[in-house]
Amino acid sequence: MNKLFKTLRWLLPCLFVPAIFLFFGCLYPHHLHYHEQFQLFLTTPEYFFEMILRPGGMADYLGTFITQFFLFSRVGALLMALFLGGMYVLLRAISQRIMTSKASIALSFIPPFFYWILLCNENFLPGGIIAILLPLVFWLLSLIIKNNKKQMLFVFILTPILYWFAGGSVILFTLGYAITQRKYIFRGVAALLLTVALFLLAKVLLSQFPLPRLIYGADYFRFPASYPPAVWILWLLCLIIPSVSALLTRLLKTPVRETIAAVLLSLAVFIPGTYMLAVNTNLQKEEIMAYDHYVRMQQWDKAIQRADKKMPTSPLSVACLNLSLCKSGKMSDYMFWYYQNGPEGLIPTFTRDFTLPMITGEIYYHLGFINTSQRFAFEAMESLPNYWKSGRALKRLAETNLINREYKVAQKYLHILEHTLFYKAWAKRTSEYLGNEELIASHKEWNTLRKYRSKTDFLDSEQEKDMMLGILLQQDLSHYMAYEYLLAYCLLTKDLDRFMQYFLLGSELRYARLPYSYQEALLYLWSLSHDNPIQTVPYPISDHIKRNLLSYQNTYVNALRPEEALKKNHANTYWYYLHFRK
Amino acid sequence: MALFALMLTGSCQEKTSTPKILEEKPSLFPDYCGVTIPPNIAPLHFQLDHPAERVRAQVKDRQGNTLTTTAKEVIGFKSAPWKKMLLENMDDSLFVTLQAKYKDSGWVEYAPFTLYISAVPVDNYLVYRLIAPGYEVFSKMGIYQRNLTSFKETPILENTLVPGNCMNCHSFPSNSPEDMSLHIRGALGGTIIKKGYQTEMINTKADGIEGNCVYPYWHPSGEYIVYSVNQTVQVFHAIQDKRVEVVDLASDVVVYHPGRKEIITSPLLQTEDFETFPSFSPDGKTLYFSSSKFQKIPENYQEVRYNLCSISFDPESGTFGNRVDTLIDAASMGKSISFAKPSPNGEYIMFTLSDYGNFSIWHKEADLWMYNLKEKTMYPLTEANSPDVESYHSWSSESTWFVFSSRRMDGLYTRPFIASIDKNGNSTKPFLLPVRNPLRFYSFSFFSYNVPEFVTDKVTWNVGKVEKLLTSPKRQKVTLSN
Repeated sequence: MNKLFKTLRWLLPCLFVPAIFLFFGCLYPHHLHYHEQFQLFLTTPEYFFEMILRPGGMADYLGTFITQFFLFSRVGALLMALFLGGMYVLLRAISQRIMTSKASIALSFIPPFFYWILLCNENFLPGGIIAILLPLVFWLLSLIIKNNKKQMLFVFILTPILYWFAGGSVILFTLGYAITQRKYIFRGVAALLLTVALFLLAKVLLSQFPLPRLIYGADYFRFPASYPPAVWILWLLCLIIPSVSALLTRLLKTPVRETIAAVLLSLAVFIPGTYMLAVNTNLQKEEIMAYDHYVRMQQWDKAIQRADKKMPTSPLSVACLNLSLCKSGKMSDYMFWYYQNGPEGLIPTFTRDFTLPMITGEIYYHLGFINTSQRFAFEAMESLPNYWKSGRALKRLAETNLINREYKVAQKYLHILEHTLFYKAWAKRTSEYLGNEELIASHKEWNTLRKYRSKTDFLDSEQEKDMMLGILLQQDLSHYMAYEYLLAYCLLTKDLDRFMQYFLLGSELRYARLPYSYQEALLYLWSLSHDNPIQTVPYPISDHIKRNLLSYQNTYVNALRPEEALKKNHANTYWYYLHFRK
Repeated sequence: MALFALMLTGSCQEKTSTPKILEEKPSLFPDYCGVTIPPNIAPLHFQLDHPAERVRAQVKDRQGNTLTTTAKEVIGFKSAPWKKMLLENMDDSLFVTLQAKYKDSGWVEYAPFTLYISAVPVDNYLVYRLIAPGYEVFSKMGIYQRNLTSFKETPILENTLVPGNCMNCHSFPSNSPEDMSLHIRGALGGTIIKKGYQTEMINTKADGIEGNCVYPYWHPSGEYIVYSVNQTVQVFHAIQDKRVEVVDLASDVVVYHPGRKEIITSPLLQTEDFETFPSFSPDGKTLYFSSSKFQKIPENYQEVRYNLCSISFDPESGTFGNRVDTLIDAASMGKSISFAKPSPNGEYIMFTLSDYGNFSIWHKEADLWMYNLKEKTMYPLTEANSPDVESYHSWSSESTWFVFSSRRMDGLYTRPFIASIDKNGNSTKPFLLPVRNPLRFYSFSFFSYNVPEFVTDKVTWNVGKVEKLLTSPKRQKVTLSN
């Protein structure tokens, strides 16, 4: 039995920590990228002091420090594994200090498991782990001190400091101390009163924060006006588990019973925990984040490969895929090989949040709508509910201002980015471009975008995206992206009259052959007004597409349920989209 | 010992080495060369545009008193000797000599520049909103007050207290911190009116009025607040030099009586035309405002041009005159006037002149102009203006100093500049709001300074009470006067 317990003691952490690493590293890596892009850790004293000015600020500071490493998902996954594993180690050590218990070994996994499940929601922040670890470290240290008076001094001196560092989770430290003071109840009560007094004192000193915010302290959740009960539950779990451990030791008097209880509790923790993790894992969001990451990194092929494996369906994923297809020169041929969900899957409409404008801004950027891209980056950053800044948005703002020859503003953003760990090198390199027209002219992307961006003024209109694309194209008929997006917009809105009207603008682009989706649309249009379209169509339509249309028409006319019948062989045609997609 | 003596000699030689004298004045950030400053202003800290290994500054008055300081980068002065120096030299000049040690050329001494100390102190506090210069969305923001005699900035209200809400349009009667009006927009929206120690939260949307009260200006008596009621939209430009256009679909001017919680209107101020940015004359008997002919928006946004108009107002009865006068027909000049602000002594009206529209902060061509009420002439405040935006402005209570927002530093982030009006009605060279480490501070700041307003003393209020008012669903309704 003792051997079994010994096995459990090393097996459980050895499974738990790698599982976290694998989860974040392989299944959820883009959630880590998502966290990274919505924060900006600066290496300046100003940033440090701004962050630590309120209770929990130090935890947030350390949290943002760690989160910057999430740019590299494997490193981020490793850090998550280590910190959540660290939470287990601390809780186990605390439990052992309070009373040696074999049975409770699995119980110490509950809080880190719980936080892991919380982190499946992209709005729970990794920095919250720090706010839990800090009081646990100090709780453990207080338990190491044998001398009662010294321990009391340690607690009373450290409580205000810890409150300032970690926020309301200091309650783990003070309440943890209180429950171990059976002989000196007064000391425990005093420690608790001190904590409450600190909350109230913080409200007096920091009147510009609501009291719940000061009790909560660190940013566990992206929306500071929300106080998810899950965080209180997490605190409670961290607090009661060492006590429950002590209780178990008293109840289970023999080593055999303890080992049996350890096994049963391990199953009781890990089976429902794994189930809850599976339930809360949102792979649909992970997919959107993945596409967004590929677009951000300009990994167009990866986006297409992902779509080849599993067709994206959400408008944001489809919008990213369409951009990747266009940047790879494949959109006009293959866009209908993938699921299309209307114009929202081409250029999504602006909403006041931090996710959508960031993604849509990428599309506007590559199209050459530099002002719109700049606005979307700014709005995405300003929409962050916790008032943080975004490294990704700031980088885009620097680029757009550089392209727009607003060098002083670009310099400001680059100067700020130079005080980061991972944007520094890019910012330093880019600074050399400031005001250097020759150098910018040698930069493939920025020079192209300068060429494509609008030279005449017009007002942005979400309702008239085709007009905006049309203006951009008319200024430069060699702007293939504007042309393809314009025609794709007409195809997706099923406005074939406009498609015909704009199609003619593409003569300057000199396609080697007509793209497939255009061939399908042209042939279809021709077939509407001509008896023998296959023979008479004046456009260079391939024989394959002509045969395809005949087959499509035949099934469409004769099948009982044409949508189902055509799905197998014709779902990748524009005709299928035209007839059956809403 | 000998080595120590040698080191000491070396050190002395370093200090006493004669610097190379240059004829040019130093290029500084902020550019404080030749500015006029009030005697109660905080120390002006500055640095060379081109980094030196070491810099040395000496401030000298005509009596030979000096203030010296050395620094690696930022030249700064201690508050007490700075204040003493300024107070002893009111209505006179100080001469600043700057020496810099460069790696390649050694010590150089620039030609001295002057700081002229006015005899008129500026109001002690400056209140402004700090907000990122964005579009429709806002992040952290707040209304802050800065003690101009020191570097201390304190928040009046921040949206950390009410996350997700926006606050704007703080306004004070005759630069007094006793009373204040402030709007909150968002889920907890409303207007906070502070009258002495009393604070209340009102809903300014009266039945019969098309929208909430927006841009405020207090009557000098504190008995009335004039507001414009605007239905505003934003549109966005596609070309590099322009970003945003903030335009009104409709706008009128109304007067609010906080005591009676009544809105007073006049058919002359509620026309189809656009009336906005109202202000009272210092005697309280005239209401100034900008007025433009109606235009279809957004199609004709570039055709909206505001004239400076006035209408008489009787504070006793709370009634308007029966005639609107056009003081400046800017539309006929192809220009547009916004932010007409009469000087407290009643001699001038300062305004912003742009090519069209009223939201001049997004107009690079926007400049500050002055209207001489006695001579009925207008002229640009050339010394205050720059090739970039100059927009919002307000007067200090003694009519000498004014503060204005300008985007001259980088073209986007609005910064407050302070200048004075000389006896001929012209502006002196403006100076940037002093801070401890100006270049670092302004280059790292994500905020624009919005609506800078001087107040004579610190604004005090009970933030706890304000929090309760904000978070309570109660909003006092205002009614339309019969």
